[in-house]
Amino acid sequence: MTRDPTGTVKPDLEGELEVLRIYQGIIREHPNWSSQEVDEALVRAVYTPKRLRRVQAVFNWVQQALVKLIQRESAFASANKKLLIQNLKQVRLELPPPAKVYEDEPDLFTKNDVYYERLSSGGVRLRIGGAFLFTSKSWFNLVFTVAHELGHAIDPCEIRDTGGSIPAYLQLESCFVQQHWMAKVKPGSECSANDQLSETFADWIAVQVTAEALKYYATEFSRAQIVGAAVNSVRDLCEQEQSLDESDNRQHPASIARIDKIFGRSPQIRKVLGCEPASKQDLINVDYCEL
Amino acid sequence: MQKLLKSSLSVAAAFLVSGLIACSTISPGPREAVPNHPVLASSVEISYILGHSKYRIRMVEHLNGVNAHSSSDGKVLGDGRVDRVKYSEFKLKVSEFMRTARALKRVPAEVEGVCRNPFTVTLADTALDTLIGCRGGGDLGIGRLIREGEFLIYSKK
Repeated sequence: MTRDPTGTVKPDLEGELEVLRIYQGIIREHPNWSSQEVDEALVRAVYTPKRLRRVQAVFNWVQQALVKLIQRESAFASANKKLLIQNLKQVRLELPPPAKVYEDEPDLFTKNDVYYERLSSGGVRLRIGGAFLFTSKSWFNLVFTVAHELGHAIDPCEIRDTGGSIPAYLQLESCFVQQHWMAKVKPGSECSANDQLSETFADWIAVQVTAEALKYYATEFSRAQIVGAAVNSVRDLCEQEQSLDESDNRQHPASIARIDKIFGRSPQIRKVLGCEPASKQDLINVDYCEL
Repeated sequence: MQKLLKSSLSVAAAFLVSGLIACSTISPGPREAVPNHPVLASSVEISYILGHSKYRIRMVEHLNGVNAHSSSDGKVLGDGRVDRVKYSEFKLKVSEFMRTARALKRVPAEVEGVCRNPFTVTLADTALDTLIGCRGGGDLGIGRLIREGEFLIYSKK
């Protein structure tokens, strides 16, 4: 039972069943409505003003947190900082209503998927499945999820694909491999189908942002509440381990690596949770990737 | 996001249950029951990955009617009988989708394989037809087709 005061994180299936019950209710109440009419009613019931405000607030907070993180990072040259911040600010949070906002992917209304996407036109957007609004009520889970997706706007592969270059990322990439956060790929195969670099980076940066969020509330929450919040921030990663087969782990590191290594060994997370190192040797032995 | 489009067309004895099972690209999970009916007229199956989950919509037409169900990671989301006329209309939409998808230009070879949200559409009617594709910014329309299928399932009799 979580003690996260901001809300719970349910299994994905529960969130989807909840939205589907609403969907079925609308269809039964209006048996002569077309699929489009039903979807318009569904998005009003799912993407309510209150839920939209919450998601927008998290998006704004995460975007600002990432900008500040980049601005204070001395490993980035000024030109690189400008590019990264520009990439972050270009991302549009795209949410219904009306239903036509997702007219190319209306099945998203009843799913948990949250994703960043670069369009062929060059535009970039972040979309949120309707069921996710029922699955994830915890502010910290929202923060981690949005930070992960927004992190893709500045991940090494995205930068490469858009013709940019961030020298500071090279050291980070080597560290990811050395720490076994991701598998090494053959030279020339970086950012290919089997490379986990994008997802590992997105997790890594989401952990930084989540640590900031936890630190922000550390003075207001009790220790148990902070622990509950930390658990909730990555709770859905546990479920993903059960539902995925090998094919999805081509792009994502295994859940155990994500939770244990990338999240659990973060010095910032450990500090917020009160896990002080017992000795100087412990400090040396905690290997964590940083810029 | 990139698109990946492959297609295959094979003619088989579509009315044989064993033939359909052998040609199906996705096996049902342990929590899904596969009805055992003696005569199969047609079927539609759409399997797809979205986010971290595997989904499936399956509609099977028998002499007695049309059974449909949808599932996520092997767990049933919805099931029941659907209207035969509406099922026939949906089958036409599936057929049209497959025809249109094949008419689109193939993506450059170097981006093949980078597909996070693949899908498979299988239509067994007068022949057995399977299409494998990738959901992406190119808008093949798979999301809309899935939505039509979901609407049919949840409008069940």
